[in-house]
Amino acid sequence: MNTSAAEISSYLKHGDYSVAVRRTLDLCLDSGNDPLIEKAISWSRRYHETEKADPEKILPANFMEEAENILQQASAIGSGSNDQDKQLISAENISKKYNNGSFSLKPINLSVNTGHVLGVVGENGNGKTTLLRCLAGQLGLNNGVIKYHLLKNPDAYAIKNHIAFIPQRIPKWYGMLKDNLHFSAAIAGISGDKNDLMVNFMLERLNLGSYAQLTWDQISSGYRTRFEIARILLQKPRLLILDEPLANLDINAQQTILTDLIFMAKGAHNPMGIILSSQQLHEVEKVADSVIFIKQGNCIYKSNDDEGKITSNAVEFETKADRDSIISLFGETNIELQFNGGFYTIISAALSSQEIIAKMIDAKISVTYFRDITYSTKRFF
Amino acid sequence: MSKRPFVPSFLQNIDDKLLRNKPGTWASRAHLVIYFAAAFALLLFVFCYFVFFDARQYSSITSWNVFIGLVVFIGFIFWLIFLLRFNVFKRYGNWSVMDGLRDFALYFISIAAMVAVCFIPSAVETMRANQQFGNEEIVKDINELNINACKLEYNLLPLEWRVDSCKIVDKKEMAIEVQPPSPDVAMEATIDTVIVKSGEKTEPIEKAAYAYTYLDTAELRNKLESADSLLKINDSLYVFYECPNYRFISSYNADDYSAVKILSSARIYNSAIKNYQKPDRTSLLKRMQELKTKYAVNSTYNYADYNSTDPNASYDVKISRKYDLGRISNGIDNAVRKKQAWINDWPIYIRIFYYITLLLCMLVFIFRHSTAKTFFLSVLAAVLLIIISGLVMVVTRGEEVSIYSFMILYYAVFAALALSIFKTNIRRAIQGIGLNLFLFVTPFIPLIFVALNETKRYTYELNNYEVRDTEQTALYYLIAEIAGSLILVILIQPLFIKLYRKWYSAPEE
Repeated sequence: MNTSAAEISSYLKHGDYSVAVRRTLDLCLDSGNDPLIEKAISWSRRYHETEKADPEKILPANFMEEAENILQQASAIGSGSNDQDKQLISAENISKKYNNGSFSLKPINLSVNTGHVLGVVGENGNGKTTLLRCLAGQLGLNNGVIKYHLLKNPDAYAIKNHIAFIPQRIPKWYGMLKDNLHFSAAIAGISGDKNDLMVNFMLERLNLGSYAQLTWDQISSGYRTRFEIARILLQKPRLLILDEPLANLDINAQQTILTDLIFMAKGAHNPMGIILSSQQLHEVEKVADSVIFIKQGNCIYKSNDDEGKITSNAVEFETKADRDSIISLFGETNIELQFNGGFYTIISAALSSQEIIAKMIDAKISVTYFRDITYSTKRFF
Repeated sequence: MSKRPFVPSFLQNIDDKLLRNKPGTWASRAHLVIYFAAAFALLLFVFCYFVFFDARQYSSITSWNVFIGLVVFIGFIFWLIFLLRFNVFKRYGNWSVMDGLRDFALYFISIAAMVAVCFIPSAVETMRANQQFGNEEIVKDINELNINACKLEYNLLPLEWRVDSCKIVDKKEMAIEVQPPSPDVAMEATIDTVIVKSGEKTEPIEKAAYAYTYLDTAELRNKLESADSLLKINDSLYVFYECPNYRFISSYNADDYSAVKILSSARIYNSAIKNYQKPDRTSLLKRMQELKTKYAVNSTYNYADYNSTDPNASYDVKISRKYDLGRISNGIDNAVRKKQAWINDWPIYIRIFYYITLLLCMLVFIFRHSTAKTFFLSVLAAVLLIIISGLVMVVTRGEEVSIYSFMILYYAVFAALALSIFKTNIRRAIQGIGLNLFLFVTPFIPLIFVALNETKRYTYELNNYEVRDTEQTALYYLIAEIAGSLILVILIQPLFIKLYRKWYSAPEE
């Protein structure tokens, strides 16, 4: 899935410059044309420099003309071969029990294709990290099989070369951040000028250029996550596994990183599958192609597969109205009302989400937040 | 790109190129280590060149070695910290067939560069000593000193040669036991066994059987080589003449590498004493003073005789004291020792250099391919095994053969643990420890086998009165040393790297 040149033109037309710049870079990368990528990097760099220097965000000179020129060239070249929707990994009845017997992950089946995003959600200590580490080849299985479909008779080293795992606590980097990026690209076989090009691209793509000359201790935890993602992406893994990648990011960065990852995963340059765990249910569910919910080591819900089993609608909302007035509005028999101290949750087989919100508006109940969680894993928390 | 302190631009360019094109080589930092080691070696060379300007002085090379060793060790630790940062293997990067061997070679070269720095002071000391004094120059000066001293102090010199009569016998078959002479006779007999006095009567040679020195043919051969003069009475009776000592300075090994040799006392006697003519004392004294200035060191060893003012001291002590020959001798000894340090001891230096480099190289190689936990557990396991084996040896009164047998047994266990990695798909610490120790012991295994064999042979030869061929034994050890290192190098890629690759990347339990 690539953003077309027409869509990017539309972003530019409506002043969404930031997203336009990022998508243009993606488009140029997918073209595989190094001079064009270099041109796009230079164009993006001038945009970021201007943005940083001028709070009014006056665009650099010839910005729009150059953009059109780059987009025309990218459209003319087109994207390289697209390796989408190839099966990457499948796990059949995998289970894991720790030697001290403290926790066990019950048998789970899952599959991920290139360009596919699988979200793993669940409360703390319920097995998300264990599952991810098993899939990344870091933990041995007690039962079940994991197949890496793009590898022929792989050994453990080849599997780990094929997969990138970003843990929740990212190990410290040493030396200058940019050196680390060059090194990661080089060990993935990207050498010479191409190495420089790709490192510069990744710095520009994730807007890390102004931090490249710093060291690990000089950047915030959010930027550490971004640099780690940049480093991993330079190694061109076919499967990217991220454990709580959003934990250290602000709300804007969460959205940006997630959408960027999705676009890159689905791009032609290095199509890959993504498995990520997170507590940010809404953000994950928004971008993931499928979501699994794990509770006490059991996979109790799998979106797509289990949606048919859901027989009731669920919404959560925030209001200043009291419980009695809500119950009196819907009738005690029509709904099940829960309150967790912050939000109300209504579960109803009789009423749809639209009917529930319509009734509340009609009754002039002030609602400051409303979300349909019928097919969200939120209803399992 | 990061600018490193004290790194010139050409090296920075090399560093940049390696980072982008050869990440494995870059991560080893071999280029930086070699540069800094060479730069430090050059500085040290220049410094030592000026410090070691006087070869006559006592050598302080041990202190230098300790100091430079500490500096190099700090550099080594600094390098290790850098090695922790980037590791292609542990990042599961692209890994080509010969990368393991290349890494081992880079570590070896880097460590060799560091270790070699430690030898700079010693090498410069030897170089400076050779610049200051020639081999023949020293020998000629020694001879001149001895002859001049004899000429100047002719009146003090003893002129009688010591005489010793020796009877040649087959000691194996000598059944009769020679009774020692009575104490008063023995005192005379020490002067010459031929002229034996017992009371007022001089006994003929044949009757003074107890006064001969009995030699077998081997001893005769040795005595003939060192005799100043001799008289052969018949095939079994020799009279040896020994010149008094006129060599007041006789530096050990000084003429080993000189065409001119240090004159023996007999030659000095023949050239300066036998036909003694009164010398020109003024010019001789002037020359003695020049040689003293040339060789004498400021301090002397605290020889009691040398410092004594006893008027009854022997002639050589008196002469040495008068011309300060002790300090001259010390200066010459020091210079000769420094000149010949590398000629005589190079096999030791080579071995010290090689084994320090090899051991550190293997430790670094293991450290780079193993987990930190397993690395330190391996060190702990090795220490524990040494302690336990030592205790077992003490309790069971084990011999040398037992030590080697223990080592071979341990090696077999390490090898079995390491090879079991091929059969498992889980990373276990015990296998990692076995693998680390398996690699570490491999270059020494041929040596252990040779040592075991030689120990058994030695016992056999001792029991059967056979002569040990030490040259042959040394050759066996040398072959074993070379073979061990070759085996290690040959096995690194096809065995050790494969094992490390499988073990390190396997899932944890």
